[in-house]
Amino acid sequence: MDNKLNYTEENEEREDGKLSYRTPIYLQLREIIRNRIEEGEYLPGTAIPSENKLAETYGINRLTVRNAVDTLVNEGILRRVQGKGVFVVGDKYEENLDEHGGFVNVMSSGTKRVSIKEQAKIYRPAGNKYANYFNIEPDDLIFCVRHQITLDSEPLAIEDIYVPKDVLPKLEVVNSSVFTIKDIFAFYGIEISSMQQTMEIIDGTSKIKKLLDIPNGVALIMLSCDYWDNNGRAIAYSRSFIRSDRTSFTIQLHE
Amino acid sequence: MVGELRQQGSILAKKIISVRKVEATKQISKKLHVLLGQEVYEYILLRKIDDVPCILETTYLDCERYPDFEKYYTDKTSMGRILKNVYHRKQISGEEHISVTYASEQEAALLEIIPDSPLFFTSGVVKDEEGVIIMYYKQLIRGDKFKLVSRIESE
Repeated sequence: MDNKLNYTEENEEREDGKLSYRTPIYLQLREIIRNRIEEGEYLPGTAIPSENKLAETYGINRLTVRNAVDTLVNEGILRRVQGKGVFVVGDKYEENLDEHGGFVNVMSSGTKRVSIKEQAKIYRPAGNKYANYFNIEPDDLIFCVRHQITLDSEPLAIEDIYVPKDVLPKLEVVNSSVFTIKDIFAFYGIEISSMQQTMEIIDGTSKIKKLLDIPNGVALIMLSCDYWDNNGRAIAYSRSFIRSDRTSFTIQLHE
Repeated sequence: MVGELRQQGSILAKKIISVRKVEATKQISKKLHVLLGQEVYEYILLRKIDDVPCILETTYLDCERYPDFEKYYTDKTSMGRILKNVYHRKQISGEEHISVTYASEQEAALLEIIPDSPLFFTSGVVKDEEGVIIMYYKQLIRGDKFKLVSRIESE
């Protein structure tokens, strides 16, 4: 291997900032992906084509694709999620809501694996309850997604998220199980000005208890979250049903 | 919580069920940042809202840092005010852990609920402006009477 030649090739990319056909392929692919992200073809919160697909499209080696993706993962622009693919990470606010504010879920043991699955995702008319809540018309569409959350493959929680369509029309294509609703809003420039979390112990319907496989006698926690924008408008609502025997929470308190 | 309940016009009261000086166990010493065996106050209180028992609370304070605390703290006085006015310590921040537990026979009797009723179990420490731990507390809060709320505003 001619190390001098390789150095020159890498250098050639950096010196004049332009790619040439001689630039290593993985760097060229990196720039293709980067441009597509910048131009909005690959949207924040969505998955890019699979490594196999990209390899096939460009007639290149899968390892080369992986290298290209790895460089962007290292830049923080892409995120690999095992079993789901590679996702575009959007810009996040540097300091908006305190990341450690609110109830933070503590899993029983650090070695256990949490998995979030998007179970259902639809648009539906708001109806009276959510029309009132979001201050929209009952016929206006709201986006509803249900997440099934498991801990080591055992059911832990069910989370329902509601967002009016006009607040974030692109929510339909975003994978909401990979990014939090806070992050997704940040990617699309929607500022959450305040949020309120409420935790209650409830009886729960038999349907929810069955979905979570809750043993008799184990309490159900309902954690709901209201999100408001700068204008005081309710922009999202989430409600989670959590098995109290499989988790606990911490919270930082301030005066 | 106290402020909001007052706004709703609820009457808050507390009853000190027990007060004693105990030697800090390993758990107390770790939470309160005192030496093992150090003398600490242990207060057990029952908090009532509109005459309904709702919270069973145990609080630990360092005897050395707050000497004579038992002279000031009664059913009618507030811990926060005493710490501020007598000992010049303000409660600024803290960290709390929350889980769900179920009332024992004894706890159920005090809270006037059925044994095995679900309760919020919160435990935490409160710090002053210098980050020094003022107290370590544990609370059992009736799940049928309370919800826990956290509000976050962006800066």
